[in-house]
Amino acid sequence: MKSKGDIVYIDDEPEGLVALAKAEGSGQRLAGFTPDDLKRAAKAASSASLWVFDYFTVEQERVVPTLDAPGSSGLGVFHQFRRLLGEARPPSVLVSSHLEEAIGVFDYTRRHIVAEQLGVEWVSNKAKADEPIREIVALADAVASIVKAHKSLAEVDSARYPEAVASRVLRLPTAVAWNAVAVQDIDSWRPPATTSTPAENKTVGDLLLKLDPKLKLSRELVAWMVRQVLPYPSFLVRAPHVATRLGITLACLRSALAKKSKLAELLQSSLYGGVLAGFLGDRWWSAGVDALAFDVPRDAVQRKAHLKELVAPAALRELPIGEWVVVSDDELVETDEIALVGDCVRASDEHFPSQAPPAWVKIESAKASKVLARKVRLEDQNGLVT
Amino acid sequence: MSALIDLEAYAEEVASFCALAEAFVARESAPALKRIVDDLRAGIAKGLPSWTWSTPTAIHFQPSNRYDSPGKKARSAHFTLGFVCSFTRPERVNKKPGAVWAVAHTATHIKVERDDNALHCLHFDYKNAGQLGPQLHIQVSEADTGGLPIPRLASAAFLPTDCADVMLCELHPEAWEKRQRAGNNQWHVGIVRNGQEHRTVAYLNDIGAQWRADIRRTRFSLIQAYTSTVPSLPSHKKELAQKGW
Repeated sequence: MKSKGDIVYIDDEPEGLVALAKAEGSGQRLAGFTPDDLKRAAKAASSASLWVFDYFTVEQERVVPTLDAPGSSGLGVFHQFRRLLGEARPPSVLVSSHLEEAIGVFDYTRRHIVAEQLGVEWVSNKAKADEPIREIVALADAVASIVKAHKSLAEVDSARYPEAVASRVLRLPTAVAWNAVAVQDIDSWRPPATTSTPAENKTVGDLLLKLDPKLKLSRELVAWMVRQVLPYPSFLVRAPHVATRLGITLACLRSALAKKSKLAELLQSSLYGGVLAGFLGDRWWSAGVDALAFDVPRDAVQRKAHLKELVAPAALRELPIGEWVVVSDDELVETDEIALVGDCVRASDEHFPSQAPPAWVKIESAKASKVLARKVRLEDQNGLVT
Repeated sequence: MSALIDLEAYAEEVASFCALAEAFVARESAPALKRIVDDLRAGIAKGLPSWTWSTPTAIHFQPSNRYDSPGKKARSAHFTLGFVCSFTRPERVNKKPGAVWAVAHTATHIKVERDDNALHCLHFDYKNAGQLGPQLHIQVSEADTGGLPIPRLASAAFLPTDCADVMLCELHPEAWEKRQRAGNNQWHVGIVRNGQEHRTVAYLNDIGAQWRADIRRTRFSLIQAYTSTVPSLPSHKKELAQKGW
């Protein structure tokens, strides 16, 4: 799969995002097409790593929704491409500088949900400086990486499939003691196991499209990552989880990582480096963090000495004795705040994957919001009673 | 005598038990419950020649007033559970070690508290080499008996999940049964049930063999002095812990 022009971008004015991509050094990746040029776009789309559609392809429709004729939004174009190429299509991203006018008010930190509801893999705000380009390129790179690994994924025995995903796609380190535990964790999150689509050529009118059988699995793995694995504490966790498991503050952890401490060195093998690494911030392998936490002594004096040595030259800031949890906000999105478990209750909603643990929300937040209070698990409702 | 145990298989059983028991664990102990599964897996992965799996803080279970209290209205009571399990590598390991260790020592401590501050402490022990009493036994905490370590009462339960099962039955008899009988819990129940059955049958068969071999003791005194000769505890899959040998 070529990387030049591997991102097909449909917009009535593609120049803006293409220019931004050039400024970020990725200009050659974006192949921009206008709505007048969809046949050429479709031909390019059949071998693309990513499709990107601007929602408003007609400026007038942004101002006033049209009822005179079927609207011509980027989603409409997406559905036409989807009908053309079927399952042999890459992930799609919907972009706009006017997202709320396009798709209504939504929580941007949970855009993976609205993306799924719209039938695409991601949604990005064109007005957010270089963020959309970074995200688009990261998604396209992920697809290219998975396509490269496709043969080994397609041919491996079913019993070795999670291990193959772990090593080929997620780049799980092999020479670590916790490798098998991490593979079990990945398996418990049910990585997509679709087979390839048939390799075939399709003729539509005068358009000859070459369907790539590797794209379906690539798309499904990317969707799995952005919808399930990354937004929730899965086999990959965020820095606040690392801090609570070790019993240190987040500030102490960050300082230790910045100052090249022994902890930074030990955590290096646990730092996630597979597809979409850094996409929604750094992640660490949960099994790797558990292995580190296992070595922290239980005795208070020994623990202090051990942690002090780990974080040096950063100053040790231990968490006071108690059970600490990572706090989620009212939209059940994890924050960087950590709190004592006694101050929190567990909550989830219909969008949580079944294998995801519930979010911890502050009791005071749940008491202040009826909507949030209803998301609190039944067995924790008594925690909201004054 | 220490018995071999396939800790990877037991870790599956622990995960299933925790999934069943989660609803009975106090919210404040939910992270601790998750951690015991994570710690066991981390310990197995490390593959050290000897190591300890334990609760850094005791796990608090939900209170109940539905326990057996004949003639009286039961006051609210709850229990907390903490444990220390030590494992050592068997002496002869020919190949790359698997997940097999010998049980060197286990002790599960239970504290039952009632809302009127009545308190009762006991522990489930795996007898150390040379110690008197049954191989698997319960005893009231010596702090509550003025230092008296007896009687030690024979028990089928000794692993932390078995002990938690016993206590849940005592304090939440109806709810715990309902939880187990729920249709969507059958997978977890099956794993725990099989693990408990295979381990317990191994010990019962061992006791039976010792009964037949020693005709100069009463049955109950032999139980009371029982030292296990079970070499290997079968897992929930009924496989004996032999991996890596």
